[in-house]
Amino acid sequence: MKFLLILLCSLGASAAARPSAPPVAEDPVFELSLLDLMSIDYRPGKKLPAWVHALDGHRVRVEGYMALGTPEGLEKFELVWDSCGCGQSIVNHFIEVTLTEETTAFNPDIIFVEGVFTVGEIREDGFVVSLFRLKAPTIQQ
Amino acid sequence: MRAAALLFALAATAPLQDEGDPAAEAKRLFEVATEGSPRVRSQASLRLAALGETGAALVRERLETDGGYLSLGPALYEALVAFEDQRMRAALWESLEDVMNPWRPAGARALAKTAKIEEQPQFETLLSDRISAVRAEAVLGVEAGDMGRAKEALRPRLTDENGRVRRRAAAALARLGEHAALAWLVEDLRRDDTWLDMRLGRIARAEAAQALGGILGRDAITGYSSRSAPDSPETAAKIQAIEERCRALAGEEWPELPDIARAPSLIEGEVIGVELRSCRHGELLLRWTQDDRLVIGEGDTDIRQLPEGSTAHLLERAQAALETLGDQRSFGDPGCDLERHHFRLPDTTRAWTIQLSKGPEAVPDLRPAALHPVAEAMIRTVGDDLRRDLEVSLESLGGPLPD
Repeated sequence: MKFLLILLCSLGASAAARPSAPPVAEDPVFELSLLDLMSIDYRPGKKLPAWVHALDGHRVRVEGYMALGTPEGLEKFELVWDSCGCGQSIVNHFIEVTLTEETTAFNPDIIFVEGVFTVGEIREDGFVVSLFRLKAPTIQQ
Repeated sequence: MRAAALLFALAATAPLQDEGDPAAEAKRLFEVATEGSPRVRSQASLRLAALGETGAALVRERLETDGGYLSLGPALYEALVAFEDQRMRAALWESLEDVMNPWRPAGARALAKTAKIEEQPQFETLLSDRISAVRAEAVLGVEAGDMGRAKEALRPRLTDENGRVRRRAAAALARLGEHAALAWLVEDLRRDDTWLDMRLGRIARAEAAQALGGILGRDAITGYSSRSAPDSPETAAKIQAIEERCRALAGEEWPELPDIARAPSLIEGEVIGVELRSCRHGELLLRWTQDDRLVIGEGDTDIRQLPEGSTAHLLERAQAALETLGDQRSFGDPGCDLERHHFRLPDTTRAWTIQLSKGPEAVPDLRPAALHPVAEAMIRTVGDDLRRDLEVSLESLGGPLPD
C-alpha cells in the first residue's frame, strides 16, 4: 500500500488528472478520472502506464455518465465521461461497472461509483472488449 | 506523418487472424468494423487500415455505393484517416460539407488528430460550425497550422457560447504561448453552476484541471480535486496557487474575462428545462424559472423576462405529461440526437428527466403524445427570434409537432 501511495503521489496526483491519495491511510479510496483514462495513448496489446496498473485491485471513486441507451434492470453498464451519444465506444473511454446490490435504472445525470477497480485486456475473437472494470455495490448521486 | 506512425504502430501490434489470406481477413474485419459490437468496431477499422491496399479497396468500393460514407458506420468513417489513401481523407473532408451528416464531430475529430498544416483554412471554417462538438474538435486542427494564424483564428473562440469550445481554445492558445488565455481555465476551476440537475460546473472544473495539468505540468495541480466545492478553504487555496503560477507565466497580460467566460451564478427557481442536442442542427438549451424568466444557453448571460404565468402554464402541462407517462422516462434508441425534458415540480428537490434519443434516421413519432402540449407551450413562450429554431430543433429530434 505504501508503494502505491508513493507511486501515485510521485506521479503528481490530482483528482481531475491523476488519481489522488486521500490523507487517510486506512482503506483509502483513490479518486480516478475518466478523462485521464481517455488520455492514455492506448492500442490493443500496448502496456498501460504504471499509474493505471498501480490502481489494479484497489478501491477507487469515479464520476461519469451511464452510457446512453443502457437498458434498465442490468447488473452491468458502461460508465463514460460524456452524456452525449455521439462518437463511439473505445475501450479506454469507458469503465465496465458491475453493480452488486442493485440493477441499472435510467439516469441522465452525472453519477459516482465507488468500488474495486481492475485493469487488463479482456479479449473476444481477438478484439479487446474491456480494459477497465469496477465492481460497486450501488450508484451514488 | 502522424497517420503513417499510427499505421506503423498498428501493423506492429495488430494480430492478424488469417495472415495467409489477406482478402478473407479484410472481409472479416470490414464486417466487424461495420456490423460488429460497438466496442470492437474501432479496433477492426484500424486493423483493416493496417492491411494496406487490400483493406482500402473494400472501403473505396463501399464509398462508391449509393450509401457512400454513411454505409461505413461511425467507426469506419472515423478511421478513414488511418488509410494510406489521400482519397479517403478527401472523402472525409467532403463529408463534413454535408450538413445532414450525423457524424460530423467524429469526422472533425479524426481529421484534427492527424491535421496537416495546409488544412488550416478548412479547420478555421469549422471553428464557426453550428455544432459545438465540431468547433471543439476543429481547435486542435487549427493549432497544428501556422502559429500566428492559429492565434488569430482561436482568439474569437474564447467567447464561444459553449464552455468546452472556450476551454479548448484557451488551452490551445496557452500552448501556443498566449499564457493570458490560462485565465479562462483558472476561472473554470471556480465554476459550481448547475443546469437543473446537470452539474456543468463540475464538468468544467474537471476538464479545466486536465488541460492545466497538461500545460503547467502535473505537479502544478497536485492536491486539487474537481470533486471538492471550489469555495472550500482547501480547494480555494489550491486554485489561488494555480492562478498565481498562471499569472506569473502571463506576466502583465492577465485579462479581464468577458461575461460569457465568467463562472455563472446560481439561477434561482429553475423548474422546467429542455435540452435539444442534434448532430445536424446543433444545440439549444432553454430553462424557465418560477418567476417567469427564460434562461438561454448553458450560463446566465442571456435571460429574458416572460409574461406573468408563462411558467405556471408550462408546469401544468408538464405535470399532466408526467401523470400520463407514469414511470416511462426513456424513449427511442441510442444515437446522436437527444431531446431531454427536465421538470422540477413544486415541492420536489430533484428534476424528472424524460429523454428521447435516436440515430441518424428520422423517427416521426418518437416524442410521446403526452409531451406535445409541453413542447407547444414552450414554443409559445419564447420570442420571435428563437421560435423558429426551437420548432426546427424539436421536429428534427422528437418528430413533427401536431398542427
